Amino acid sequence: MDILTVSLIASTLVAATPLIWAAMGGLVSHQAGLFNFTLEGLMLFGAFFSVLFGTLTGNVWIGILLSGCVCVLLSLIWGWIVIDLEADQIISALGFILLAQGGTVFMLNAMGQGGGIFSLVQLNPIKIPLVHDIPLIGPVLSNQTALTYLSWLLLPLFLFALYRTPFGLSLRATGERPEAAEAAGINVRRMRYISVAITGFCCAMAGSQLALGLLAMFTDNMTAGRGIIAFAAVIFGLHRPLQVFLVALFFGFAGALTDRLQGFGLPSELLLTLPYVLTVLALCVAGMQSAFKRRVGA
Amino acid sequence: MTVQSQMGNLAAEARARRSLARAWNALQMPVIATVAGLFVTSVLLVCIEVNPLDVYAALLRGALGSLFGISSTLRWATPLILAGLAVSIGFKAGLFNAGLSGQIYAGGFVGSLIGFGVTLPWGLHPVAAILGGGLAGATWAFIPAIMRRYLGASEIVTSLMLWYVAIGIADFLVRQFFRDPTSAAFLMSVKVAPSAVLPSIFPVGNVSVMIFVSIGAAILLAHFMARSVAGYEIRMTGANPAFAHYSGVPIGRRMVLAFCLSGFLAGMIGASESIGINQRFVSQFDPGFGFDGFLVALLANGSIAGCIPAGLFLGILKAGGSEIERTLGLSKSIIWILQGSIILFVSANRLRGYLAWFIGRLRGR
Repeated sequence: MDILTVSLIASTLVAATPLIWAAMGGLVSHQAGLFNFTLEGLMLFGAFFSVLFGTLTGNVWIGILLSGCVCVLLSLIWGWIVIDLEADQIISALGFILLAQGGTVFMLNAMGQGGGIFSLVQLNPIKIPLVHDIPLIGPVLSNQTALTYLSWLLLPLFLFALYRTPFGLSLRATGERPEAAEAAGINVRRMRYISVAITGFCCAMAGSQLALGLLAMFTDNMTAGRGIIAFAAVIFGLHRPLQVFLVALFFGFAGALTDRLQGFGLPSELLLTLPYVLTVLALCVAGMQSAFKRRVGA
Repeated sequence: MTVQSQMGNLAAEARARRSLARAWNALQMPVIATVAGLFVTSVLLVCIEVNPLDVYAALLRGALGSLFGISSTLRWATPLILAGLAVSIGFKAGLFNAGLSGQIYAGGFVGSLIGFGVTLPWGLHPVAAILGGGLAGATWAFIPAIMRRYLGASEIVTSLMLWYVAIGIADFLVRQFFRDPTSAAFLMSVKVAPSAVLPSIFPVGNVSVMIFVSIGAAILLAHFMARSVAGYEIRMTGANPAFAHYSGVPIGRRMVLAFCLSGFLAGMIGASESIGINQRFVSQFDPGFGFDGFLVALLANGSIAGCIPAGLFLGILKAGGSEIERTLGLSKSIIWILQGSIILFVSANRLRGYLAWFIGRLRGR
């Protein structure tokens, strides 16, 4: 294992962290039967508010938590529009993304900043003592931000919460058979609101990592389609935690590989399309499977 | 007056009242959503101590107050009407073309390719470029359409993903083969041949004959959907697929037709932007016509001809946006916020019920 591979792993982990947070958050809404396309907008809001509150309070964690609270509120507003006002989920999500792009730029301008703001605080990489001493991989695995470690913990947490707790059972029932869930005494409306709130919080973490983990600044439209890739990961991973986690990791790897190959002068544009092509192929395969089942099972 | 003519008058009156009621019914949600959007924007403007009325006045002045303003409104309305039509056609067939931007991008690439790669006489060259761009858009829309037909894959997700694929492929080809050697920072192709350029028909601004093409397309499509067999079958497919299927309508083929038609219109936007405005292929040239197309279609609320006024309305917003920026020092982001909040609320049908309840309570007290 040479130094190139090690640094590729390092940049994969860095690129994958926001994708993992956003995709894992998004799958909760999908499990509850909501087609949540707002991830991109929520990430953008999350990135902006983490920089804003972090700088205002001078503490990076208070900033991130406050940003999480604001995103939960914003996400609940979208939830109200689709759950109670029964708006079209995709159309209103597109409006939400546009609102996020306009809203963050509007607030930047209101503060007298043109293209972006620098953050006075930053998420510092944490060295884990024992892991750090492993040769080659050690420095890569241990020099990550706290949000990266937390994103790894999301996988066991979600697997447990979704498949081993009454809450998870209710959530999945809400998504699969809302009528049956209602009949079984589950408050479908409340479950959906909770799922949307979780999505909002996770996307805020994704945005915070993006803004405070790497650059310590917020720039206009800094998510640049990462929320859409995270949404693709939710679809590609069939909104199951393990699959979605691995797909997000893979998309992060594809992104890191793209940056690397760009350095060698290879066409990066085509490589950047990889997550999207894969998602289309996944939908093809899923469609073929169900078409096959229909024919055989009839 | 004879009894017969009296009855005829009554019938005509009733018909007029009914069509008025239908128009009001169709306009209700767009109007409510626009008011809600204006409310959200006004609140934000008051928060930063700007008078919202000043902003809206500047917006109208910028869009309609001068010849330049009017030409700029028409310039934006041209692609916006087409984009609205493209989305509306999809809606009619019960499909959601979320990847409009991808088809616009494909159309822009092929349109400019024909512009600089082929030699044709003056009148024919732009026509070939626009039609070529339209065909490219239709081809790009064909992929999600057949995936929907044969595999049942959601056309929303696939067409959206193919947007990014279109950007990747077009940018790659331009960088490799057609890049303008003098361009440094921005990725753009060489200029199109002079014979392919769509000239401006106004003394100022950038309005090309495409405005007539847009309006003509709207009228033509409205007629097609209302009066032709294929149009009727498309509407039936969207309204009730099962019923259409058992009535013998080939719903799969009608879906693909509607989606490709939508892609064709989107491709025309890309081509006309490339040969009319930029006169070359510029990477990321599309300032979000895909999003704007949804807004136009949603404001038109299912009416094809309604895309013309809705497109003009959005054109006013776009043209007025730069005036706001210039005179009041506000950024255009306020226009995005307005658009975003209108889209957010426009499909919220329950809002109508809540409003009626609210108004009823106000009256009751």
